[in-house]
Amino acid sequence: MSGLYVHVPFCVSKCAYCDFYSLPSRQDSLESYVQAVLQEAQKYAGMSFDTLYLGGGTPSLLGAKNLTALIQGLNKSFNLTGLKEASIEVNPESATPELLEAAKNQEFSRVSCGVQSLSDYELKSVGRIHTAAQAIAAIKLAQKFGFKAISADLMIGLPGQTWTSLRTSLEALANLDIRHLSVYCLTLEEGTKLAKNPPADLPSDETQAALFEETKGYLNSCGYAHYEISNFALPGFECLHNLNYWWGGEYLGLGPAAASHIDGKRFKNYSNLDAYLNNPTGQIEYVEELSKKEKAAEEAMLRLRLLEEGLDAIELGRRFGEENVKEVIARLEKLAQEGLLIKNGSRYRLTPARILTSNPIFARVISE
Amino acid sequence: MENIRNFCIIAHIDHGKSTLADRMLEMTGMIHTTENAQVLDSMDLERERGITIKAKSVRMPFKSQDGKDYILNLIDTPGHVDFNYEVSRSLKACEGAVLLVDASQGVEAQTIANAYLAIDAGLEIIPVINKIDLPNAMVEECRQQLQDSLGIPGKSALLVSAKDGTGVSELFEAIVMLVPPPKGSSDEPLKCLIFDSFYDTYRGVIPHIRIFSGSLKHGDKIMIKSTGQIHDVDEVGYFTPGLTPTAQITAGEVGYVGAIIKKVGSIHVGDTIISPEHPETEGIPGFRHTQPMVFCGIYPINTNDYIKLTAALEKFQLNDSSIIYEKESSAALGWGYRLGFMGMLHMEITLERLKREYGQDLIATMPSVIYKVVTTDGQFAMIDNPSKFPDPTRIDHIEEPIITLRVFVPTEFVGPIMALSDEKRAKLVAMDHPDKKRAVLTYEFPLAEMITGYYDKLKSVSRGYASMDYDFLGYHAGDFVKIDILVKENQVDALSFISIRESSQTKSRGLIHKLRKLIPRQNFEIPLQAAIGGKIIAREDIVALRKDVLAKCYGGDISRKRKLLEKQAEGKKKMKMVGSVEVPQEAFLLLLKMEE
Repeated sequence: MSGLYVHVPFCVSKCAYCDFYSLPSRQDSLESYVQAVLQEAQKYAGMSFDTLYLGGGTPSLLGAKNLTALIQGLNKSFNLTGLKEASIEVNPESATPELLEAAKNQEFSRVSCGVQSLSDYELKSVGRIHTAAQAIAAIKLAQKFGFKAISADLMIGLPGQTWTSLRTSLEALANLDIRHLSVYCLTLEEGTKLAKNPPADLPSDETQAALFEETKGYLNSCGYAHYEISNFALPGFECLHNLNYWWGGEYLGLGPAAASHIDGKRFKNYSNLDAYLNNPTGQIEYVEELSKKEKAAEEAMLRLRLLEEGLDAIELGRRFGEENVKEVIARLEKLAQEGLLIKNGSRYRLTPARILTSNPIFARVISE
Repeated sequence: MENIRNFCIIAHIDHGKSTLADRMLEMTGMIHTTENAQVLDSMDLERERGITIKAKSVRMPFKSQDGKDYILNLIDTPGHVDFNYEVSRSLKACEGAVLLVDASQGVEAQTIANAYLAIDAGLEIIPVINKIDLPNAMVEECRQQLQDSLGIPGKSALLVSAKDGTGVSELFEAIVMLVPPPKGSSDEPLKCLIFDSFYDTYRGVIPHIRIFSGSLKHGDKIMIKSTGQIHDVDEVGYFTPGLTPTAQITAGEVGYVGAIIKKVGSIHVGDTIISPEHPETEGIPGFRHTQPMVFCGIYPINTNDYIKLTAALEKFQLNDSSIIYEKESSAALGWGYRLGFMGMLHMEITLERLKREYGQDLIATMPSVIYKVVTTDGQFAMIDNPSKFPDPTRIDHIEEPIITLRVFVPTEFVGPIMALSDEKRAKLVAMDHPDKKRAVLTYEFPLAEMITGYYDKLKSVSRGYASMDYDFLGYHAGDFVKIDILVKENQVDALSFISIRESSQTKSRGLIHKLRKLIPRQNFEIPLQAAIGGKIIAREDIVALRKDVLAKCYGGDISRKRKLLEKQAEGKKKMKMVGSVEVPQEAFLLLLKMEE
């Protein structure tokens, strides 16, 4: 498996919780951005990919024309004929019929809609610039274009959120025949507006945890499987592109701040749009090459995020060499003895009760 | 011998002793101009804290106005309250003492304490008022204070600025004129006082000595009076200030003797060196093995570093034989050592040096004094570690060490100092006024209260003006209880402490509350309890961690995720496991800072 990711670093305005790399868009910079990405793509010309993901930022801000130019250009550098999945993230306010039509024409199979909540109060409190009605309309519109799957992002722990308001959002989404849901707990990231000025009605960690449990129960009852820490899907609608991340797979990231994993090396572009526009092929901030042992530990940590399949110790040994997985497997074994992982044959997976407190476990997976 | 003068400089901390010593060395050509580098304070920490921890000495040639050549031996003395005994031994090696008073500060606690030690040792006292170059110098007040608090004729005090050299020549002349030459004969059997020592990797322990009678040269045999050990002398010499070997040192002189003494513990300050040919030679009176007053446990953060810690301590003791240590094990902290110190400052400096010089990552438990625990069967035990206390039902009563504490303070701060001391269970036994502006408060003071931050508070309530000095007084009974701390039902022996019953609940609540803030939330609820015997007297709970998860995918930025987790794993390594609970090292120092 190998994926192609394109980071679109534009937003109409920054949401209060967001620490991703994004800037307000300008029409002129959208065009030069597309040209720059295509120039960067040429550096890697000839590669072929199984999945494509346009993330952001707000990819839907590109508009029909730029989106079309981008995909047509990418097709010139890469072999995208065998794509099993092509996703585009859209925000309700910019998911126009023109854009969705262009996406459909460029053979996108999946639309991931940044809904976050269907309560206008909650949306407003974190600086989202759309309403619940706009989000529902955007989803219905995307469905009309016949994409294979529509996914929605949803946040837990928004200011003022209660189980009643969250359940209302969930029910509405389930009734809209959403196939995939990404459910994130709100985190106060350093430097964000929300962290600087947290509202008084921000739910506590305890409340967030309780809301997450309720959400999980509700979605399970509707047939969605909790296949990854923050992702739920109806059977067969898991996001392949993201699965590839958790499987330790390879991918190329284009655009400012985009991360790549090629030939076992991880590297990342600088988060600087101007520099990127000037010199799209010279933006690598760092290249990280881990030892086989570290790599094995990293992959174990990633695979444990997949709540159902987890990781297979035998397969890990086959991929990295027995001597390189001995230590990480000993650590997994210890975690299993402590009840933090569940062991079944040669497979390990995360104990369900520990999903929301998995960091301390993962920290112990990657290092003694 | 007629032309030898052995003297020391005694002063309160920061009254300029080291600067004066430097100036004297410079003026006698022993060193070249120093730029504020105080030659006799060679340890960085000493310079930082402005105090001399280890005494050293130096031999200076001096040509007097009378035309004669003299040998002046300056014997440096440690300058802080924890080292009274060492000071008294250094004084014993001298015939005279320069009593230095800072013209801007006046007579302070250790001026008096040291002056009394010198008077008791029968030394000729030369009063000197230093720092007269300062704009706020109050020379007349200082003269009056010398007169009033020590009965020393203040009028005769020399006026000096060690900083710019004013009056130092006059001081040299005064030393030659007033300090009597040493007595004793080189023909009598050997008798030397050990007033200091240091460790040399190749030559072993090198005692610093003052010869009272007899002489010493290469090839002689010496005997340590208190132990009877015999060593072969392979080198004798003087301090200039480095070691300068010489053929022979004789009665009245000050120098060192190298005799390949490998065992650090075999040489003690105050002991006497004699000749094995005359084993009947009497020791110099006043020798005693120093008794540590304050104890604490030290443990490596990582239990695997225990061997490294052992090596560090062994090496450390070579240069500070007043430290005692023994193996100790704690259920909570694993293997470590219990260290004994001469006092609080000594402890702070030692721990800091261990960390700095030996690169040791340490947990130091809160300091304790030695309690005398009398059991119901009439026996008693001296216990320096609260976790070693017997079961409360077996205890008849507990006694604690009391010191006589003298606090010197400008009169306007008497109120706050009295209030502070009252809180600390101090008993005021006397209040004197050496002059109109100053008071001396004499207390019977529990040492245990002293070591939990009294000195720092004393300084802060008096804006730095108060000074203090103390002596051990004895053991007094009190209504004490041992408080145990339980973290998730596990007793943490290293956190047990002794308190007077009356304040035990307040103290326990304070401790538990602080502990709750220090221990991070974990995957389970952690009850924190304080207990006397089986009875819980305070409790707070740390609620379980409910959310610590990396959700977002960051567009495949796995490196970022991994680094966050690695950072978390690093933090974990600095934690100590208590049962299943991760406890940060700060928690073990809690009591020390509890009252802040």
